[in-house]
Amino acid sequence: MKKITTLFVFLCLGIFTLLAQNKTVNGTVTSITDNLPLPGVTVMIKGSKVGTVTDLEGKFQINASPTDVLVFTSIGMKTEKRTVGKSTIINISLTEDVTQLNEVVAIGYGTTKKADLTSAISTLSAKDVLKMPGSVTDALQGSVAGVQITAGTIRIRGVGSITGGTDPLWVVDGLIGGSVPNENEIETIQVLKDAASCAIYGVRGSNGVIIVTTKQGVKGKLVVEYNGNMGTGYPWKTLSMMNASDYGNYVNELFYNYYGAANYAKYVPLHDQEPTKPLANSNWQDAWFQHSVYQKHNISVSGGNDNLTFRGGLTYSDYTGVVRESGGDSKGAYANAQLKKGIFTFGMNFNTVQNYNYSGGGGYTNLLTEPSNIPIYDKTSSTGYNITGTADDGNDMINQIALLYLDKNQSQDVGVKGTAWSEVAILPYLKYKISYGYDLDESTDYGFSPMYDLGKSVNLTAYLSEDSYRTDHYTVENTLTLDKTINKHHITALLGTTYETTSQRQFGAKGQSLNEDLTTMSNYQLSPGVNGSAYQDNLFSYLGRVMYSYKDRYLLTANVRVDKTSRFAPGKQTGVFPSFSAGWRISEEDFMKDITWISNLKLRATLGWMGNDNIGGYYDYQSSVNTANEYYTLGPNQNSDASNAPAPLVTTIASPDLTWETTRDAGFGIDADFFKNRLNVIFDYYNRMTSNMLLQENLPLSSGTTQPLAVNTGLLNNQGVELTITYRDKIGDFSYSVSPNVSFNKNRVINIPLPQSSGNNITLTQTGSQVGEFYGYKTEGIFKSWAEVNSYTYKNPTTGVVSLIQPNAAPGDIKFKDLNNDGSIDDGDKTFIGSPIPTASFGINFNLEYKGFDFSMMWQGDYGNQIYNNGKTLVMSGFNATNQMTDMLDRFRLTDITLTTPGGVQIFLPANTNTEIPRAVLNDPNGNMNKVSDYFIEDGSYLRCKRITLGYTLPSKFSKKMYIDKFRVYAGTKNPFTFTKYSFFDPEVLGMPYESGGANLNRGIDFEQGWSTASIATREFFVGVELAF
Amino acid sequence: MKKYIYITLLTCGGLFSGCQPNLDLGNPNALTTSTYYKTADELIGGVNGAYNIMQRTGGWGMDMPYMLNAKGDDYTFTFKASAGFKDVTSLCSYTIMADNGFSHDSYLAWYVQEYACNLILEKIDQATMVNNDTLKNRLRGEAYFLRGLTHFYLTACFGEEIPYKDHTPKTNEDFYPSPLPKGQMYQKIVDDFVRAIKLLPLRSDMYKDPTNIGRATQGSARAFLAKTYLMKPILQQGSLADWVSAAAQLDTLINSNQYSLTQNFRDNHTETNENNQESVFEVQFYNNLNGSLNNSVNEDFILSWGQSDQSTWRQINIGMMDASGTNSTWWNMSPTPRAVNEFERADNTNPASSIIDPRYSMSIWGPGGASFDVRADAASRWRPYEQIVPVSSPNYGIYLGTRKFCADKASADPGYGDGINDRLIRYSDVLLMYAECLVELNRPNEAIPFIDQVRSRANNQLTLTTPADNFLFYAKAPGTLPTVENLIIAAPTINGTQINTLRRAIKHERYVELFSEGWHYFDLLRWYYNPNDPDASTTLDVLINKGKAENNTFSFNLAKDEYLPIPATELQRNKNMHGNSAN
Repeated sequence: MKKITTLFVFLCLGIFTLLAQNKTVNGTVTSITDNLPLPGVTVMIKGSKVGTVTDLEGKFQINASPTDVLVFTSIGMKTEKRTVGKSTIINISLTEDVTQLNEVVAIGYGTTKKADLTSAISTLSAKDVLKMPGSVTDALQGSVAGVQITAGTIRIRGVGSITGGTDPLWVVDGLIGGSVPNENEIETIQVLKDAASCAIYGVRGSNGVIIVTTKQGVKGKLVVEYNGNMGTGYPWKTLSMMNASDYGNYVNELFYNYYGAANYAKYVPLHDQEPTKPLANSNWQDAWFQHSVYQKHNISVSGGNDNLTFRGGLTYSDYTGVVRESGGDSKGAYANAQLKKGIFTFGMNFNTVQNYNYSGGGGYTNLLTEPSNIPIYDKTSSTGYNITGTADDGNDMINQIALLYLDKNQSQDVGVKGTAWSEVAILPYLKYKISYGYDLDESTDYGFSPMYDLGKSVNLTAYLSEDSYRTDHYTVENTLTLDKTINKHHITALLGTTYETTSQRQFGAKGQSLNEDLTTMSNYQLSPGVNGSAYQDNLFSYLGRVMYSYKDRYLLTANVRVDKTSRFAPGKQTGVFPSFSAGWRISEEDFMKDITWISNLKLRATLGWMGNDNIGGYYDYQSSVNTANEYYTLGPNQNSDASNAPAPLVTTIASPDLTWETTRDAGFGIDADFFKNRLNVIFDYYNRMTSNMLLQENLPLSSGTTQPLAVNTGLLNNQGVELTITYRDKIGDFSYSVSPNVSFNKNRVINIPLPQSSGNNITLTQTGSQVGEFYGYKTEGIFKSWAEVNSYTYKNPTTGVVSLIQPNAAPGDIKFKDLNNDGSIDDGDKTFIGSPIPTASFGINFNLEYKGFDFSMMWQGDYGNQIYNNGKTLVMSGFNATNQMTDMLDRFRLTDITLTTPGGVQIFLPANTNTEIPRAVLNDPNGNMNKVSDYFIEDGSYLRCKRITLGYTLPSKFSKKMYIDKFRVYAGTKNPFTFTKYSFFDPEVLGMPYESGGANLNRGIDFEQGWSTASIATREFFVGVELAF
Repeated sequence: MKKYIYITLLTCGGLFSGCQPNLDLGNPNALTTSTYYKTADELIGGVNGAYNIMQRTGGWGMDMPYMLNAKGDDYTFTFKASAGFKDVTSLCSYTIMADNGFSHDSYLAWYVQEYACNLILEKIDQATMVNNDTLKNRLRGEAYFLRGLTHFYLTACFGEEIPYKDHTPKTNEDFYPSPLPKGQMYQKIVDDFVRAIKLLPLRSDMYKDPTNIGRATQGSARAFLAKTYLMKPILQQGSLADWVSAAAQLDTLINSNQYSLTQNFRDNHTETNENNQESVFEVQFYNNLNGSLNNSVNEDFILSWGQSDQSTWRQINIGMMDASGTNSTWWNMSPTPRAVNEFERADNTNPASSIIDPRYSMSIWGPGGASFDVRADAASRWRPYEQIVPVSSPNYGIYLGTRKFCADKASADPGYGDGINDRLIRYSDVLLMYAECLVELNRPNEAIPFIDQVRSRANNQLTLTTPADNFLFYAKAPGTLPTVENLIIAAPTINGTQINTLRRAIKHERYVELFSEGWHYFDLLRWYYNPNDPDASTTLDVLINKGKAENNTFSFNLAKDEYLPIPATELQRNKNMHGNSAN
């Protein structure tokens, strides 16, 4: 292994030949943070051109006189000076330069110095990512201003589209849409937020870009690193549900209030007839949840010399989920290498991961409604589970715990990602790079259901289904980069083309069998079915960029990208998206030199256009007729497929004029450092106007088609400010940083021809509103007496007839406002009742370090948003015989009720009028639950401690003895504290995913559809170890 | 230097060579409208696509039986609907809101059918490669019939001020139709059925090719045209039934010799004997176990998993109750005790005496009725009602199930479905309609034989017995229902009405013969709007008092509850549309 970098050979030659010296000074340069040797540190004698660089062990040797001052400089480290004096050995530790102004930032098809940036880019380092176990998304949440993450959904700078996609684009090591690697392998994450930075990605840049760079090998000695952690978690909150006797009382009251004292006994279900003698007192949630256990191990090897650097490793993780019968594991291998030879550089990246997940059946939503007075298990039953949901229970809830254990779902996927590139320096300042990327994902899902009898759900045969997906993603990029400094002019220019194809094929089969012991498809030949689908998505682009700076203080950038997509009809495929940005580093001006408390001050301004072609479908400009599997039944043999007469149906109606959605982004920002870089402030203002919005316009039911029509329409505005402040300091051995960030976003629909509503009509988006605002009735509490019900009347101005506004209401029912004053509660009374979009989102990070100890903590929150708690219709419903939350014990009751149940039990239910919880009455005659109203609106603001981590790094003097370079142990917790007024599970409400037609129209609606426990925040505790040698 | 020139050339070549992927891609998953509908088979397929809508959730696959029956006095919701399916409760109890799932799905489905009819009518005209004009005319006839049917049912349910389209959308505005002004829809329905009558072959001709069994025939169009004339007061508010035109069509239909009553009444509601001699038009079903459970037209089903479910979910929706907890039905809607009481008894003054009308046990699961195959254990699989709801239970005689169009045994997974065709119109309805016309046209004596045809068939001894009813009287000997003349002479009081006139006898006969076939609610409205009927003003009392009969508080209000509200989604999305009296 060569010990001296060739680049600096001439320097060393200079040292030996040119100067007469007094003595030889030796020494080692290390990093103060981890005590590891620092290779490549320049050691210069001040005031001369004499110097050397440290070798791979951080060692240097230089001839100097005792009066000489040695200057140690390295990129990213603070410069240190030391007078030689009498010593012949000078060991020195360098500290990291906190401002990191020389830090290199990935900007899309290239890099630039952070100081030269003219656009809004936020960076997250490997250290931040590794603060806790979990995904990259976890690490981003609360750490970056302007990035809003709610239960896994990422939105950068507000909601840019209504029904189009709003997920940001992921770029991993330059591969667009590449799979996000294991967090141990991440070097940096950069979030590109404005048009100036995103426009180079044109097509999908409009929702922001997240660039992930993986760790590469560095030249030097071979380093082996190990990082492992394990932890456990449990939902931070479960709902408090009624116990068996309270439930029994509730059901009796339910029927009593509907049928009246004389008749109700006839209707009370059998199991509720004796509330004092329930069959069981079941806690269904306890049977559903368990403490999760997870572990993750990553081991990597890296090293290299002047010509070759290499890094590779293995990763393994497994877990059992918080829902019983769920879990999985993941195994991965990765390697990357870079090879230099003369003017050529070659590189390759390889990453493969194999995931396995399994889970049981059943649904949490249904589970919650299981009455607590019926047993979960029954030894006498053939399945071991009690049959629930019978006339005896007055409901039809299938035993979800049985389904959890009996049904089996599994998924397996293998992802392989490879990139190879080659760069040639045609001239020292002109480089050509060609890069090929290939990403393959193969996944298979299995679903198995054995034979069972659960009453309402009976499987006379066993079921098996299997689905396979294969996605191929292929990119070719050619770029020509110019980087030249002429006097004080610095020009960087880029020209390039990109070629990208994505294709997917899916195939599935299903069948039934009388032999449930066999689990391969060929044994499931009863009622078989097959299905398959495919799509292709092609894109071609030209890109260009010029960056110019004068005297390091006047910065200009211009981008242009021309995109062509296969998603639109010929003639509509091309979009041109330019952007411009400028920066002024005021702190470099002469008149600022005297203001010492300002270390750095930069103003930035941007203006740019970005395009979006993500409408969900790939062939929306073609009207399609579906012929497969569409039949009507005709002919004499109607007990067999012989009667299947083809009956094709038009499934999608063409939208031939469909073309690009465009977002114009304008904004400005300030980057500033004060007090010798102790205080860092980043401020941004943006104003984005989205026009020609891609909308899946839901057509009237009478239009004759059930599919929404893809159209370009409307105008949407997002404006906001983002502020990140970081204060860091060091007092002796104690160093700390506090970094709060806050972002305010204002969203407004300037113009939309046709209002858009969510599938369940809870939200409405129209001109002047925000995207996905809640739309429904205003309420005025509940009627407390018959007098209140009977005095809520309307006098017809023409006939003079006085009528009740809510004729079906009784005391304890919700009073709805007759906003249009027409004497009845109908659609005309609906209005906007709340918004799911926060006024402000904020986060704060704390880091403390003392000797070997490190402590970090992160808080995150939203302010000013509402949640539509649709969960109330489920477990605070008060209209059916399903389990209710204990909050329902405080339900309204006009007078004392003493009733004798059909089972002969006397129940006394006291009057309760001092409450806002509606009465219990079968069938909900007043429509308390089926009218969208502000009764369901709750404050969605919250503040949550996302994580706390405490670590300890063994001092190197101890670890060295064990031949270990670094040894750190850490322990911590995720989601330990949450402050919110929200009454149900979690204020981070998971909307329906975009793929299911959710998009932004049904954001913030809790229990909008079958609710899964996957979205519930878990409180976790973890421990881990990092090791390097 | 040469090296650099090469490199530069190579680079520029790589950059700008136009190495561009194909951007004009064809959809691999589907054919397009511009290439399809060219051959005879494709045209037939296009018409089948229109029929197919009626099989789906919004049609008789699930929603229409609720839409047509729930509002009558013969059906009510069950406790299970209260717990799980509130849309049923609100339909049955006149508290229906504009966001009701059934009305939403049905309204949507019918307009998809309208689109399918218009599309194929246009494509038939454009299909110059097909020279078979006989086929083309038949297909046109089917499309006109189905389009007429679309507007017939839509109007009956939602009133006449609804969108009407006779072509596929050509411009963006066409996606947002306005409602038809009052007084026009009725004539458009009549016109489509008249066109269909002219184009469609007689049933015997159509069915010569057995693969055409199940298609609409001239008789189907004629029967629905007659129905349209009779239902004119509902289809066009403020007008009277056109008895003369109806009688003419029914007369032609009866004299076409295409139809006759089946030996067994039960043959009209089972999986066997579908499209029999009594059937005038049926929605076809096949319990296709390969079909997806989800066969709605408004979900992504069409593009995703499996083939269309070709079964009806009526059994699982409203079949046998599962009091024992093992029969696996949803049982959201139940016949009322009043419906049971409409069937004639040995002693009509004594509610405890046994029912002598065999049609009761063939239509309803109730006291003294047929046995049900609970499937649970082989030893006593067939259980009479009394073993499911014991006489001692307070629910005895209140929990009632529907046997008509439902299987005699619990539906098994998968699919929950059944293949029993839904007979929209059968010959006995034709006979009773004709009898009614004759009475209204002052020819009562001519009406009597038609009523007696229906009554005497009901008395036929059942020849297809199973353990479900082989122990019942009608399996052992013919029934003892009197003729209609003798009924009127005996003049029993049934459900509070003395059957002492021919009009009342026809109403009674329609109730029991056509129970659960989707006509009773509309019959009540028709009779209410008949100025010649001395009982007209009190006809709707049974609806007004329906709630009281069930210890409920709801009540029927004709002004508001006659029609279903225009779905909220339609009003929100279509600014050209307005609500109706029920909104």
